Amino acid sequence: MNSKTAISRREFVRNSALLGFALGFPAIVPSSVIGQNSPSNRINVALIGMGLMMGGHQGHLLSRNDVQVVAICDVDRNKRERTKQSIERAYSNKSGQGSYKGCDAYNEYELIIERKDIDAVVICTPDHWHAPISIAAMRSGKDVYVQKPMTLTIREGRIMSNVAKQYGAILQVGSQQRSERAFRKACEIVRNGLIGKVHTAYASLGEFPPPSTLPEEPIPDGFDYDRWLGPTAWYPYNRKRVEGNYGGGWRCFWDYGSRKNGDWGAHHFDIIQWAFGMDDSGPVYFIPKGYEGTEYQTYVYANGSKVLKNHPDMKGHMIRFIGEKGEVLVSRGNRLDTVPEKIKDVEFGPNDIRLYVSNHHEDNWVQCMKTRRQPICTAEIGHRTATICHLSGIAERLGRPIRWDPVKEEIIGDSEASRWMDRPRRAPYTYI
Amino acid sequence: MKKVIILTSILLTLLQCNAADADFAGKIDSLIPTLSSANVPDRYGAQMELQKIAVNTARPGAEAERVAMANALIKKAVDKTVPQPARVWVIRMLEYIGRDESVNALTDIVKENDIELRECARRALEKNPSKSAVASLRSMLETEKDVTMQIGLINSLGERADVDSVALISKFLDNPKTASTAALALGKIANESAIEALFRVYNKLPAAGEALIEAAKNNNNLAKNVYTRVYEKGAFAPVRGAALVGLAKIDPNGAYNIIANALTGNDEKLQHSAVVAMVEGNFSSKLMSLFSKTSLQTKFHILSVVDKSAELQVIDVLKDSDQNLRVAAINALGRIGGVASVPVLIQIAAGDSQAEKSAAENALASISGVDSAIESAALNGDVKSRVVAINAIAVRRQVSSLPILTKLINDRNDEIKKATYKSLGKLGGDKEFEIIAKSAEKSRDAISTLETIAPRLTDKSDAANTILNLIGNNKSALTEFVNVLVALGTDECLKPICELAKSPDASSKDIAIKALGDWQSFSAVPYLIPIVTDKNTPQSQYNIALKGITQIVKSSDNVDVKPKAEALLTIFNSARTDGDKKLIISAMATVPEARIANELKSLLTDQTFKQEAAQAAISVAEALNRTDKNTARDLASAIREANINNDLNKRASRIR
Repeated sequence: MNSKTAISRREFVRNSALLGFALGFPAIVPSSVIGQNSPSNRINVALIGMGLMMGGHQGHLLSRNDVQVVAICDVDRNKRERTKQSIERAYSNKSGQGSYKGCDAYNEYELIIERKDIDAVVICTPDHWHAPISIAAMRSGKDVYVQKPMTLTIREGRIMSNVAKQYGAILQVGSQQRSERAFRKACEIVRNGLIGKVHTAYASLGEFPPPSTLPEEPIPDGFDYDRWLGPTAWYPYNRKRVEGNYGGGWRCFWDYGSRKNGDWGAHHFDIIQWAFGMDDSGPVYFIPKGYEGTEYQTYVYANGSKVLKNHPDMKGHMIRFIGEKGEVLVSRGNRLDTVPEKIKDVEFGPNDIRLYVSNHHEDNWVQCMKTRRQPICTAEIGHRTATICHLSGIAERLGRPIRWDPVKEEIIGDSEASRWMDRPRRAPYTYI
Repeated sequence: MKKVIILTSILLTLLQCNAADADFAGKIDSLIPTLSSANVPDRYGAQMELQKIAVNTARPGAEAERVAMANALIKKAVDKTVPQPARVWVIRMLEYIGRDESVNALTDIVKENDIELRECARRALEKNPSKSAVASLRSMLETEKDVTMQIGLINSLGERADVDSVALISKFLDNPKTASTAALALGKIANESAIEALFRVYNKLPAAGEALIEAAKNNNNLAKNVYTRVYEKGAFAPVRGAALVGLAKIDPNGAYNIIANALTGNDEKLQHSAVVAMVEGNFSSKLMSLFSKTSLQTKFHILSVVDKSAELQVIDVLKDSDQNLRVAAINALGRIGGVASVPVLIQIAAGDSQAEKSAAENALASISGVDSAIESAALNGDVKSRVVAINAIAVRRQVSSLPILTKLINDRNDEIKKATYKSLGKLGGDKEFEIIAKSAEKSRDAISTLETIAPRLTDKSDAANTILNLIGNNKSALTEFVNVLVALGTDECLKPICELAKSPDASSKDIAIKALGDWQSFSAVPYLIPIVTDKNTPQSQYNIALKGITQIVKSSDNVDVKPKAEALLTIFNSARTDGDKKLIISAMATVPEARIANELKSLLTDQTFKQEAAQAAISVAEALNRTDKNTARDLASAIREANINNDLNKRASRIR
């Protein structure tokens, strides 16, 4: 229980920096101490949250010559040290010049935020840390790649999007299906009306096992559990609570996300938003499964289009759009089917509705950091998609439908439900 | 009388409330032991049950129930005899549904010693909409000594934008452990005194700058003043940049000069912010006039945001010495370009620089509203440029330009003709097919174009007649057009090919059998079977016919299973090698029919074929299980007996 009394390292770090700031020195470690200044054409990146999802990003970024991974951050000391060594080994091998020491490892993300030589951060923490770290990074002038879902709460998303716009940050949300050709084509087919008005879409999200209360276990040596919990409510440590696991782990718990809504929903709901041209808006009505006989969790757009979660008739696909004149079925692995079949071969020209083309999500982010063009999945897009994930979860937990005003971004006529649009943060991790 | 009714109804409501109170209290009492069960996993069910009841009482229109439930929860929340894990959960329910009635209880809990309970109660007060909750939080902060709790309370007061807390929170700006939280809270409160308190520590405390930006967003009246001061007095580029963007939003005209100065100043970070500010302030059109005074990196940024009004200035950038910048300008024209961009882009696409050529081709493919300009470029100019324009017509799916393409097939220049046929292949339909077929031109390019167009024609029969009339009795013409006939695939096209297959001329016969092997419908199969079964058929023709039959059978989903079964069983007996038989067995997998099932069953005992037969048999059995259960079961049983592998055995076991 001692960990519950911890003082925010951020407070410590930020306020320790006061002296240097006042004297006009760099706030934290000068770049000359860290190592050689990187070539001006390289983007210095820090990786935060070295779990399952970071693997792919790490591999891609290490392979690039225009990016240098200069720091990593994780609350697990073993993971931190292991990753630092593996990154330094990778750079040594790449340069073929003996040993390389240029990747610092931190327990506290605030130390990365304070480093002025770091241009960008990749955030692959559990959902409850996405917004605080992203916001701090953008306010310190850094660009951000943040895993999906972008936020834990609706309010966090509004703040993140506003901060990204005001600070001119390049923020890419890791909804990488937008960078897959089949998903883009599916959305273009829908947008150009080739299957008529889409009255229904199905999204296959699967199910997690139910959350559970877990008995207390000893906190492993070198694991900063208090910081792992961060702004969320305190619970006793148990390995199953903190493990990163596609079949469950922390993803099962409402405390750290919206369960499957925020997991696969953040991907598939995102594609449905794209197809419906609703990137700056969203549905108006959310109905939980079981409410007055509702068979499938559903949300409804103002034009009447419905989206059903986990309908069994997916015809082997992840997303199924059913329109008045046909269907579009799309999945990962560039799998696209249409009814009629020939629709999928239709090629679009400049006079048709064309969507943002990105063929590689991380590459799109890196290119945008160089040109300052906005990436394919901005904070506003990520926020609007995450809002659907959260409202679906809120309706499920309240056991009643939610009416939503996507313009004012308010829950209509249910003041107690409105409280769920944000969650109070556990001290001292209150930064947002 | 009226008074009596009112009194009665009040009494009834009170009685109902009391009854509800008692109901909720009883329910909570019954859940407490499980909420604190020594077997921790048991607690979850009780937590969810309590949550379900609590949130249901807070539904719209059920205020009396909510009050009753909150009161029942309060009794347990403050009861120190209730085990701590149960109290924690009860307090969390008050976070969801508590209002005025909960404030005193939650305040008392924050004053207890248990850190977890205190923190839960503090959070519940933060979410409690009553004014008294805020007053309570403020009063607790005045006396709180624990730094973590101070941080929590400061944050809560900030979240509630409590103007009465400004002086109190400002004191915490001096403590390094609480300064950042205090600054951010003041930014949320955002009244004049909060803002002045922040300016006092601006440039000393990084969070103060962030907080001032938030304050400006939260206070429209003071925003201009705050942004201006943050920009002018600040040392940290990101915060100054954010102020610049904020200024552009609220007072674009007043801020223009400041933004323009930042754009052309020495700080590259601020230059980027100035670009964002220019767009925010609707000054995109003015960006290009300052373009030459910005850094190279900022130039890229500008090119990524300029709008259509900048087209001519972006065209000027194409003369820049930096190739990357030229490519960025070409990309920008792809987004904003109009008629003026077309000749320039065509010229670049016809040039030698691969990077620029590719960018220009992409740009030409994406500019809207320039169809006529591209048509004009296809008709006039040097050959290379015309070829680029003709290619662009196809990539742009400019169907309206098809009449021009059909004229260009008569162009004197071979390169133009070649490009035109290629584009017609991508865009052409029935009309163009007819025109090309009837034109004097019978080049390889023309015939390939017919072949490419054929599969998407709406009237294939009509097109087939056109081609067959063209061929007449000319065998040489037939061999030239044979692939067009295959692509059309109608029954009238099949007949002359079958005739050709009987030709004594070996090369004509080869062409015809290859055409039959490539046929897309089952109607070719009866003509292919004799080729396979004839022992005198040359090996190469036999191979083509055998592969053709198996492929057609596999892809003919709409054909009845009986003729398919007949075909496969016939050729199976004439197959020349084991490899050929295995190929036929693989096609059998797609034909769920009783005779095929029997054949596969017998092959399951044949050492040479049992592996392939088992794979095919399981597919057949699974499909037959929907239509002919007896045969399916019989075959499944034979698969299990053959015991090829566990996976097949499992699948076979599921067939019942």
